[in-house]
Amino acid sequence: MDEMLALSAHLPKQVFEAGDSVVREGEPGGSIWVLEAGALQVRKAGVVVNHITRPGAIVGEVSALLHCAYGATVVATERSVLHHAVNGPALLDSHPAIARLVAVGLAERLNHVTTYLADLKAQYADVPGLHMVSAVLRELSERQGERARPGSARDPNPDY
Amino acid sequence: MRILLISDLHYTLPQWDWAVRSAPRFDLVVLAGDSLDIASSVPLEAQVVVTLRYLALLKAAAPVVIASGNHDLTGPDAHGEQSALWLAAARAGGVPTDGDSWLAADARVTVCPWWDGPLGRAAVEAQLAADAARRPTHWLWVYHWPPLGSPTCWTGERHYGDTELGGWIGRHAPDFVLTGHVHEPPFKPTGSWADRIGRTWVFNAGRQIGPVPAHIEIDLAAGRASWHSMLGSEALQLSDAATPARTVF
Repeated sequence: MDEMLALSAHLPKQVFEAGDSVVREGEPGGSIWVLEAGALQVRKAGVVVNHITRPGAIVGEVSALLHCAYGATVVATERSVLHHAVNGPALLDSHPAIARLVAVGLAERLNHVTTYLADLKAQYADVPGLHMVSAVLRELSERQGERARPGSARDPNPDY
Repeated sequence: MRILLISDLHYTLPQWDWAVRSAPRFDLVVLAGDSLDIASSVPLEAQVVVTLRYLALLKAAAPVVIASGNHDLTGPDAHGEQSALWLAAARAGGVPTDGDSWLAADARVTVCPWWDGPLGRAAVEAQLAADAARRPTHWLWVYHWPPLGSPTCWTGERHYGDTELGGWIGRHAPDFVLTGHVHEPPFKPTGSWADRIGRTWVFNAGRQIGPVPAHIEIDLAAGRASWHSMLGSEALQLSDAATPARTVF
């Protein structure tokens, strides 16, 4: 049995039928789900970016960690069962083993992304925007500056 | 001196790539605002990192100046007015930006910030007055928003222009004002990429999709300016008394 699934077995279950949304992009985050069975589709800005079928996969952990809105819409593509922690940050605070698995998952994904992009940089060295990718990622991963506060009072129209 | 004017890249990376590749053909690259895009899914913080790297690449290829637009504002300044705080890093990297002047043998480029409150407006007014006292043969302003009433701010339905710039042009009569902000004017038969106001040429290249930004090339020595876009190209002589009739429609 998947370790995350075992650790989250105490959480209440929630059933989603095909087409049901688990989370919606832009809506306030905070909850964490753990997939027990079924299949999920991840869409970002209307584009399908991932499919999740692995029992023990986590949904909502980034918004729970960053205290921000969900960054993607997750929809069940078949009847799916997920364990649900309404208060994601509290779950991570109270269960170090779960927090460690979340961190491992994020680190793995980060490693995949940076490795792929470093190779992309090497293969497309003559395209400035691609050549800089790994350096940008390194800089972003180390960045701890102020959060931007965008917008103009004089012309708030975002179309211009 | 050959000048490349582009603006409103709105974090369109292929257009940045084009700018880097094109820069060596010019003596100065002018970015007239809205380098970032507040509607992008990429956080502004990340856009800033990428854009600063593009600026470094541009600077390695040709002198470059960058002015802020309304999309470039990242937080309040010391007076609480919105400002492109990140452009301080561009300046530290050797790229003249908001509030700076770039000086060549016979040309001065005054880089105006997007002002977003009364103190910012007053600062721009003072900046222009200071540079007016030391104008060389060619005086160019970089100012994001074209002046109200000009065909360079005509959206096809209305004039969408800056209410203050026309007065400053009337007072100081610079040779060129290099703008952006309003995307449609060059692509409308009744709009334009160029406008002659007294002795001043106002230019706005507009914005287009695709890997090549709409852009304007100014050749001071040859006395010529040309606009290039997916719609086609047009040109004028800087000695023209008025904007020539549109030819791309």
